[in-house]
Amino acid sequence: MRALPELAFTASAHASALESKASVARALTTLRGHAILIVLPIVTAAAALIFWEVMARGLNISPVILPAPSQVYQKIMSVLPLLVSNSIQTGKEALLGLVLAAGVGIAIGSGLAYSKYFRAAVYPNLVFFQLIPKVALAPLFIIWLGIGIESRLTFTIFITFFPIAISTAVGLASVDPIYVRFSRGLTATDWQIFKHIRVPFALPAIFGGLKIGVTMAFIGVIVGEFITSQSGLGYLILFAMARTETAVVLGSIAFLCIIGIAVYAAVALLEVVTRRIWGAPYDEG
Amino acid sequence: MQLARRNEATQTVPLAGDGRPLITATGVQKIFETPTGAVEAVGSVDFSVSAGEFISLLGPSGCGKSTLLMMVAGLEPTTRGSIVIDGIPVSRPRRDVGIVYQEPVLLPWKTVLQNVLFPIRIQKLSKADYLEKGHKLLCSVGLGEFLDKKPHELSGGMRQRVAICRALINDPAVLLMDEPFSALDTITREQMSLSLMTLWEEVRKSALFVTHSIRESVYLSDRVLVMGKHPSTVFWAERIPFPRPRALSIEETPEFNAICSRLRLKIDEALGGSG
Repeated sequence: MRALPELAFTASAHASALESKASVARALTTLRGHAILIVLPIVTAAAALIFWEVMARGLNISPVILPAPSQVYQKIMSVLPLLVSNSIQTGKEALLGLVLAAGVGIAIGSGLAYSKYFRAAVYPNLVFFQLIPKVALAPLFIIWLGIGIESRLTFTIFITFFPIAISTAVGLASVDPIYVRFSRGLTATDWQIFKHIRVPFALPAIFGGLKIGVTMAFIGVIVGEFITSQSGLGYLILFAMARTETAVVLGSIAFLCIIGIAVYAAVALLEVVTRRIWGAPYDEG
Repeated sequence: MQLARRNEATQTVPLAGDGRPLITATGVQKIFETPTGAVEAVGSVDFSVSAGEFISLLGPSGCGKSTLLMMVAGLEPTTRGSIVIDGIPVSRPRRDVGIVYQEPVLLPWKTVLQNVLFPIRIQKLSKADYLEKGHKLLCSVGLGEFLDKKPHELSGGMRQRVAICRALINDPAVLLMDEPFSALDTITREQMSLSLMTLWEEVRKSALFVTHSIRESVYLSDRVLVMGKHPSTVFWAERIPFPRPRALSIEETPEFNAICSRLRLKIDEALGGSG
């Protein structure tokens, strides 16, 4: 099983990632470290918001073009239940799409890593179809599957599974051969090697793919909602745009960020739990 | 199967092994096909290891000793010749063969005890039956306090000791070791030799130990098989007459050094005097 050279995680890239992670951990132990890492970004964001507020008010920009943060906040508060319910709607679909795409992606990734025939047959076609701007393919799914959740979900899975499949394939293929040879020496079967050696070592790569998948899943759901939906944040954005309620648009985007972070955090939490049970402690020396 | 134990007279040289050959290699040869032509890694080797005998394969880098060991382990097919362990020809890895590699190869997410019991898991045996044995093995190499630690909390020497325990957990007939101490510093190497000897005294497995260290091979073995480079064959066998158990102090004796000198001479001859 050869590592796929196209997306190989090089040792040096991993090492520098570990280094920056270690320096972050070190910084968080001091008060000054805390100040720099937490307070500084917040202060910068606050400064940007204040700048925006001052510019919007001072230059008398129309609230249709760019409402001031205070106006956006007022609007958010007045339509809060609407924003929350649509956020949950979008969040649920994105999460479902991600979970299904993870299943498809990991299965295909495993096939790519294990069977050279499967890889030869499937991989070039996969890359070809993924290079087509997927948003252009969305209408095709609607023709085939209608305007309900099926087409949105299928489209989401279609654009989300690819990074997961590739990360899985790379992760499984780049296990240190000494571990494979060692387990062969124990008379382990191919399945046992997969389960006990390859999967645990591949987990960081797989979760890397899942995290990318989070962004793809949301793109898929939002695009789907733009085109077909009667609910969700994508729908809300278009609805508000049609009524020149730019503040609502901005509010929807803000909530999109929030649920995006929530789903991402769920994946990160799953990674911590899984690696505690199953994966290698990469942070220690 | 049990040999003369340490409480017997130590003046006589106890016969290594009970005479019954456990590993027999006949005409074993290995040729690798490379883009630039055929490379002979091992050229016609014959040897045998009796039950309970500790044999070293000694030779310079590139003489094919590790390749030979991998063929005995069943991890590398022979180009010619055959290897028989305990009456059964070697065609693939087997459960009655324990292997220790140059790197410890411990699973980083498992504890020391879980790592030692990993072969039991793979071979679908009952964990309960082997739990106590795992404890015992680890205690006898001085790791009794480290059962729940992860590999990254251990030093290189400690990890290699875990690997040795792991190779012995399912009571194999034969223990194969491929330069297990090469990755360690000299001081740790000495301690590991002693550790290995202590453990080996208790289990008395037939052992095939690959090394490039002359002193190590003489200290540990009943017989040293010397391999050369061109051709890669076993061209000298030296019987080591020291009784067991062996203290590290035998390395100071003139007999020990005489044997080492002879082996060094043989190796130099084989290398064409290039040293």
